[in-house]
Amino acid sequence: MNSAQDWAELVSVALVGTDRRAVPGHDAGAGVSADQSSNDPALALLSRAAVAGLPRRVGAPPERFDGALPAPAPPDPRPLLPDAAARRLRTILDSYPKYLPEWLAAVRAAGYRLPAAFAPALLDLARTNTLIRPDLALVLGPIGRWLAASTGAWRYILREAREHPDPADWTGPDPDARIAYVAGLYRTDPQAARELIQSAWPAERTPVKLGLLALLARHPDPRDLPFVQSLARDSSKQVRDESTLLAGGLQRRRDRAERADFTAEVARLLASARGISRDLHNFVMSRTDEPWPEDGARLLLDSLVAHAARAAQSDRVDWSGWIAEQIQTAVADQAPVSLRDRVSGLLAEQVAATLDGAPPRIDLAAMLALLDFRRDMLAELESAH
Amino acid sequence: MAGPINPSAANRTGIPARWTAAQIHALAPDAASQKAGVKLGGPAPWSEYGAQAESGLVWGSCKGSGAKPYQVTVQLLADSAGPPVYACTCPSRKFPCKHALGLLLLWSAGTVPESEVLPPRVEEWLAGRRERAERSEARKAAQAAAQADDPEAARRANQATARRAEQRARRISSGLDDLELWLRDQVRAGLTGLKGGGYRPIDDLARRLVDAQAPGVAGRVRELASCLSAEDWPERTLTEFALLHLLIQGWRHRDALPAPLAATVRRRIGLSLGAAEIAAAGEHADDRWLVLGSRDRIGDKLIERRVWLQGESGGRLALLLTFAPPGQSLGLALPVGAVLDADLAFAPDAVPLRAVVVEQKALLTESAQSPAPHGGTLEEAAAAFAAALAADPWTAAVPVVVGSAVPLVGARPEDWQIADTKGGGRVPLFARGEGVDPSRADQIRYGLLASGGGHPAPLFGLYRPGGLTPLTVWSEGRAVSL
Repeated sequence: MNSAQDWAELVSVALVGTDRRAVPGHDAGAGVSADQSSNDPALALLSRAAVAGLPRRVGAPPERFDGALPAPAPPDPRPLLPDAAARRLRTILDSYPKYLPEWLAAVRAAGYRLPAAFAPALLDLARTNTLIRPDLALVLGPIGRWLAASTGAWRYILREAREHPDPADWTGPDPDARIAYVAGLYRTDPQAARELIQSAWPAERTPVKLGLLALLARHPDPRDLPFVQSLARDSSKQVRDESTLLAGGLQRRRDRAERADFTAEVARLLASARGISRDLHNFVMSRTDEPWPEDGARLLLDSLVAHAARAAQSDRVDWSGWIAEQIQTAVADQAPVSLRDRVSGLLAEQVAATLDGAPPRIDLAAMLALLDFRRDMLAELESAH
Repeated sequence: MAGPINPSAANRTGIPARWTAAQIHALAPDAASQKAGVKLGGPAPWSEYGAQAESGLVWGSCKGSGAKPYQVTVQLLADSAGPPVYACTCPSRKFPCKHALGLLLLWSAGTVPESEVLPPRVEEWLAGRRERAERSEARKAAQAAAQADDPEAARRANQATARRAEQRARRISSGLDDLELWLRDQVRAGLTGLKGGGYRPIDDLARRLVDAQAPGVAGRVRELASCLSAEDWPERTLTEFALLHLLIQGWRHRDALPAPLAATVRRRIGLSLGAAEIAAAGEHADDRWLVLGSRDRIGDKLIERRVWLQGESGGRLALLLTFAPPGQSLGLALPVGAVLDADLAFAPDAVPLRAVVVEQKALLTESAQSPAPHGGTLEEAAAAFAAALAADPWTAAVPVVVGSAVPLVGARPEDWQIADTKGGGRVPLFARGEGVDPSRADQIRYGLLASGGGHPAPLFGLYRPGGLTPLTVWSEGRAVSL
């Protein structure tokens, strides 16, 4: 009996139990030393199993692979991200994810290539955080697309703009690459992109139409409204639904007044309420999608300090404290990092003024720490060019 | 703010000019502390900070949630002779606390100025430590002198040790007799009954084995639960039963076994040798050791850190082990890809792998670059596994370096393979080893694919015939821990 048969037999006996079935060839002993175990059928079975199972545990030598490796990722000529910035990215991912968009934009501007080990985690993040997709696609470059194509995961990255759009992509067969070409065209010549979408539309199939609609939504332009409204008669329900949504958004944009100048509006709101107010809070929170000008940020900072001074005197606890904290964090996140010098100066004054140890109402130290973090993370990305 | 620590001063005394952030992160007792430490790694909350390279001291005051700032002091030992000493006035029970980690990161970044003069509180602390160390030395010297003077006392001490060892051996034998009866009863009644019986009887048996001071066996018994829930549970369970039976026989006949195999039996039962014993009895090897990989395994009472090393001169592999209760720092701060210049001693074993550091001369982590490891083919890995299994029947996996490995994406996650472009073989990529959960397994697979970019690269992992579990890959001259 060969080992494999022996083993299979031992397994089946063990399953039902040696009380019910005899161990085949029990007296043989099979090389196990004589002790009490050879008398007891159960223990004898285990001794036999230890030997009979050995070939199974050694396994077989590795199989051959049939020579054809998949193509590796195309080379990326950009210089590698400096070590300090790579450590910074680790910190951002672990502790300060809100600064990732700003950091990625700075990496893109500086022209560095990321260590590829970061790619999967960042691609996972951009699945849900769609705002970072354009910058991430440019920063990852070829490795991002190669990973998406190799694994079938993160396919969205294939539809994002590439560093150097290739007109051959538009005429080629790959729908994702065609959408990526239009996304790239938007970066250099939005007008040409809009015209291309409208002219090519009738011949496109639904998946491409949906991709192009997503681009129109990402770069909303009220002049597209007539075209988008015409899509309400498209044959695909998905296209009809998406275009209706987009048309509504474009209409609201068209009818809304011009977006107010940040600094002017902050000044106006501060003057009318003589300090921070709910309206100021609403306005500030509605403008966290873009960096702020320094003068507007200074006005906010000074108003926060004034508010803290008044609150310390009156000792009243109300909504304004919570609003002040929210505005304070927003300033740290959105203001230009050059503001840190003013914060540092105010902190020194504050430290001198609060000798009695009362906790300050505005946490300038925390603000300074965040501003310095942003300043340092940007300084580490001085251009590669 | 003054400039950074004077590097030439540091080299004179042998204290590393500056630890790298990677080394400091390795000191953190857990991920939460590491993140909290990073948040405190900038200058904003710190005041009155300074360092003195000669004595290896770094100090500072950190603004905390209370009214008074926390006072932190860290002493780095010369030649990294041991883990740093931490002192902080915060109420945390973790060592090092987040303030100590933040201070070290601040120092590592070059922000902490060198100071000739120590603040009074640091002087006091140092003086206190010196005093305590002197008292403890005096006590030990008195004890040793007493024993030398009094051979009777020395003999009694040795006898007490021998008695304890005998008592433990008796307990183990009794526990293993108990285990054998249980194994026999299960096989008599049929393993099908065991599968339906639930986890309780296995848990109880494991507890009894822990009481019998055989923790290695207890751990194997607990693993039966996962054997029983596998698809091929009859084969897996019978295999594990047979191995337990073999281990019991090995223990009973340990005096008749060749010494290395007897040492393996003792180790697998859970009788581990102490560092001092290994240093005294084990084979020494002096080399520059590349840190191949590091993994922490979380047990119910302890965290175990395993660090694998490879000798530069011959490619010999070594495994360093350290344990700590959760919340305490695990002493080995060895970043993957660093080179440890040290004299190791290997614990006697049928397959010598576990080692201790007898003398550490230097830890080279200046740049993020890592030398490439010595690599082999998958056929050589399979042969190494077979050789290990022949010497130690309880071998589950062997550490190997595949010199030129590429992952092959499969239709499903479990279909991924690793191809060896030098030897031409391929094996499954087994990411789920040791109860790794699916999302972590994805991380390992995608991390390997991204780091290599489809190019063959050196890969360190644990090999068993069922597949290779990757731990570290080298890419662009850097070691990437997966």
